[in-house]
Amino acid sequence: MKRKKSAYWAVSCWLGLALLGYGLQPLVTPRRSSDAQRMLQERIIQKSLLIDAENASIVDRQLLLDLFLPEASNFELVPARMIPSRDLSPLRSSAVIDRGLESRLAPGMGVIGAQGIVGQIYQVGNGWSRIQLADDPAFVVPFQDEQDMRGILAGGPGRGVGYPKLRLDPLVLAEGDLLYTDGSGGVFPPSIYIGIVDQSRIPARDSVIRLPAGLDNSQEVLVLTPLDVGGSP
Amino acid sequence: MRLMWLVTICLLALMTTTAYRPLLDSTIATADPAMVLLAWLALIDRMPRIFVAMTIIGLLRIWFGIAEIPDTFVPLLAVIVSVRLLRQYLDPYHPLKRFQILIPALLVGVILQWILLTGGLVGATELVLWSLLLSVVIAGLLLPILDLMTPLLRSARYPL
Repeated sequence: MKRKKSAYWAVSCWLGLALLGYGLQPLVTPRRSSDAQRMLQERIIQKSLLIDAENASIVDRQLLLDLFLPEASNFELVPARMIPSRDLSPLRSSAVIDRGLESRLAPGMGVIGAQGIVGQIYQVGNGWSRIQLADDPAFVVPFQDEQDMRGILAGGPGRGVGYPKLRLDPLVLAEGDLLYTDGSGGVFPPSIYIGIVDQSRIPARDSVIRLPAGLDNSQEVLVLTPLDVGGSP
Repeated sequence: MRLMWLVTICLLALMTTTAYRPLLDSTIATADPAMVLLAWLALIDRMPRIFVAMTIIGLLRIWFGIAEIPDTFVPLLAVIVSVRLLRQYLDPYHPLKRFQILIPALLVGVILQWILLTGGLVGATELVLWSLLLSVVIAGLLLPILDLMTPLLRSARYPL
């Protein structure tokens, strides 16, 4: 009987330990003010990238229309609310949005936010979809740097970071370099902010890329639904 | 009743993982309380109960996340197999020697999961170094609690 009593005590202790963990969470989550500042900076970067793309189109509109418009107009933007949800697998990173099958969402579609890339739809249901966030180790996205050198970025191993998994061009990453989508792969249009080089290391795959802030926060996102541009009926 | 307690303990382990995840980041992968629980069960318990615990943990991870069957069950199986192999050489009842079984088994599990997710070992070095240290602390903290819980599981294999 005494042993059983101590077993109940042990269960309570463990429960207390778990609740303590939940209680400590606000202490380690980034301060809202610094997070908001970073989000604002990243929003400015994203806006300037889009303005650059727009300015470029003015220079030779016809050429750029021929080149980029078919690709840029291949997406319909579906607004959704992202709710952070802690994945039960310790290495995986996911979130939930309030749109699903009713909005014709499907697995594999890209998700972007005001700061840049957010992730990719993984699972769809009625009124909900689960997103694989950009810092998930299994998430990969083609990128290009400011010199238009291309590579493949993968998420992880930590929260809010990624690393260049593969170099498609002889790119040299320097701290502070901005990375954005190159439009290949058909999931994301070009000029979507992916992240900034936080630590540059040799070999390049050991470098640390800081992904847009707010991946684990509740935020408004846009789902990139490819438009059906199929040929003849 | 025993199964109910096993389910409760599994849920507690998963709850602890989510509670400490923001604090410990990805290092929680090796020091994952759910993995520690499974390894502890694999030390001395019967195989059916180990597989029940593995199924509960695995299914919950698949249902409430983006985990897939291979990257969920292969690492869990690897932990069980490693513990069972190592306990042939080291005493699983010894309070210190069981750490020498548990820590390498947890490492095998997390490395395998990383390989399954990324297709290689890139980025795993840092993860392994930090989580190795942390897994000793977490296992050191959880094992005495788990030992106290044995009367609820009512197995003849646990030392009285």
